[in-house]
Amino acid sequence: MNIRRDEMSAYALREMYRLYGYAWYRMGKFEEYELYARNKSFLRSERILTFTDVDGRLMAMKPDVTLSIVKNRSGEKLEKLCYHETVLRADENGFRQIPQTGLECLGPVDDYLQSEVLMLACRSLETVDADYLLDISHLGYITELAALAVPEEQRDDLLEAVGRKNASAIRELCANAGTDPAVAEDLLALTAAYAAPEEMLPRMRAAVRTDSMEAACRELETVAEGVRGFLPEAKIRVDLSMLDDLHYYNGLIFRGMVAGVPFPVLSGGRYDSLLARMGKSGRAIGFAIYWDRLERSDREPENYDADAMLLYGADTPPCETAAAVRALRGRGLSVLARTEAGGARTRYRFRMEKGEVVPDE
Amino acid sequence: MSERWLNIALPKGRLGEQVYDALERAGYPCPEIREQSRKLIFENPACRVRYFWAKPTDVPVYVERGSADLGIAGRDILSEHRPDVYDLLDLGFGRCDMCVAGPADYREDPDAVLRVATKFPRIAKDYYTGRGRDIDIIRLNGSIELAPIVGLSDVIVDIVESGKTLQENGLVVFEKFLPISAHLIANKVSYKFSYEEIRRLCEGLEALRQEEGV
Repeated sequence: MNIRRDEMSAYALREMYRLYGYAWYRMGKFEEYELYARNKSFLRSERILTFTDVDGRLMAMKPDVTLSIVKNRSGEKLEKLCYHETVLRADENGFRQIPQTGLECLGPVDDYLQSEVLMLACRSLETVDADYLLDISHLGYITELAALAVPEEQRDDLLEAVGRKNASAIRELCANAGTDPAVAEDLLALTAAYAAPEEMLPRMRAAVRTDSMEAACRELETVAEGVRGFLPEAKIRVDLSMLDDLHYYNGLIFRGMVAGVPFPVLSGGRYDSLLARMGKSGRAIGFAIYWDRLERSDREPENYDADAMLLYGADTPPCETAAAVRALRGRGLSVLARTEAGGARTRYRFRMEKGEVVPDE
Repeated sequence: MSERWLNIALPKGRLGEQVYDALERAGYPCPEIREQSRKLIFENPACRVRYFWAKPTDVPVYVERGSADLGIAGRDILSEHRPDVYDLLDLGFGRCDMCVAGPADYREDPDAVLRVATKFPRIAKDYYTGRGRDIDIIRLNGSIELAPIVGLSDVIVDIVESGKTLQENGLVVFEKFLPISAHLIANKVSYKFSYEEIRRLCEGLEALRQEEGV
């Protein structure tokens, strides 16, 4: 049976999240449409697949997991949940199924819990590919610096330029607004910069001008240290230009990437404002891995029938072939043993020669 | 981490050739690109760079979807299509302006919806929305200047370089509202994984630009 990569990895991730106290959450296939209609600004896509239930209620087909989790939350205690769900979202080509695995931590979220979530994001990416990067930022820092740079009516344009790392547009907007040259220079330098927290945070600290920036800087420092406490080698970078989800997130945000996939595959952050909007108190942080974005990177291994082909002769004793197969399996390779290659495609080819396994050139 | 290759999408045509010349001078040569051939992709293993030519409007698509790490696209294309890419550097090549133009004797009727012919509906819409003006966008794919002459539109929104074509057809520029030039763009994920290589290339082009005063 061919088990999909997201199903295999979701199981591994669930086990890992469980070790840190995350309980399994399963959402219903359908939810009342009203929940989503009231909170459209928090959805990644405003188009929702709906149908009328037998009792006349308008129902929505799984557009979002986080909203469902927040809706079902009661009380103020700490709640740690993880899930694997397929949501239905629309883009310009129509509705698509997006399998995602994620976790949500709600309630009295503190710096330790934020560090734990970031560490789990790193470990989740590592499960997908060891060559990963987790970008972190704090919306409170960069939006405050932008507020110092230009008046409110130009804020959106400036933040868009920051999000695109567009130095010429930032310069132009700051020049037109008569921005303090030191603020403009800091904005330009910090927007372009991309480095590990140990290098970036001192630079951010040097550019602090308000209490909010100071608090944001301190939070990033504490959380980055917390992650290092778990995973000294975590591949974390600070990218202050990360601003795409301003309407959804507040405070700490992060995004994960793996080599060879041109889009971020993980996104997450603090979303206290969603809780407040739904009349709940407390804080919230979470992330999800989007498996649809990894489909293309899955494809390569599927081009092969197995990792290795082992060609044996009609007269090779079965026990010798079995030992050779066992040795190759021991190296973690899937093996296709046969007497002739035929049309099979494998990464490596070996043959049996005098009881030994040798590369088949 | 081993140094990664950089895949660069160049826009076909004079602008692309100008930009390639600059990249060559900045330390990213690929001699075979100058040879007459039907090859689509050119690479130089010595500086780990791979170039390919693409239709100018397609360059941001290649970059956004990661087939190219970097690309060169005009500000007109970036403003119109808004690809989700980093806009790293204004290279200063191919300078021109996005303009409103029309017949020299045209007088606008503020009570009527303005008919605007253009290849850039989003740019035109943004411009007139900012001025609170209702418009009827007529999307055309070429020979925009023809539209007001034959009565299809009142004005046009188009790129004007020298203004010669307009002049020869009795049209004048009413307003220049968006300066255009070639920009270096990057895929948002490639930028992260090839940060050192991309910054080095940007600095090379920036230094060249300052040296040559483009």
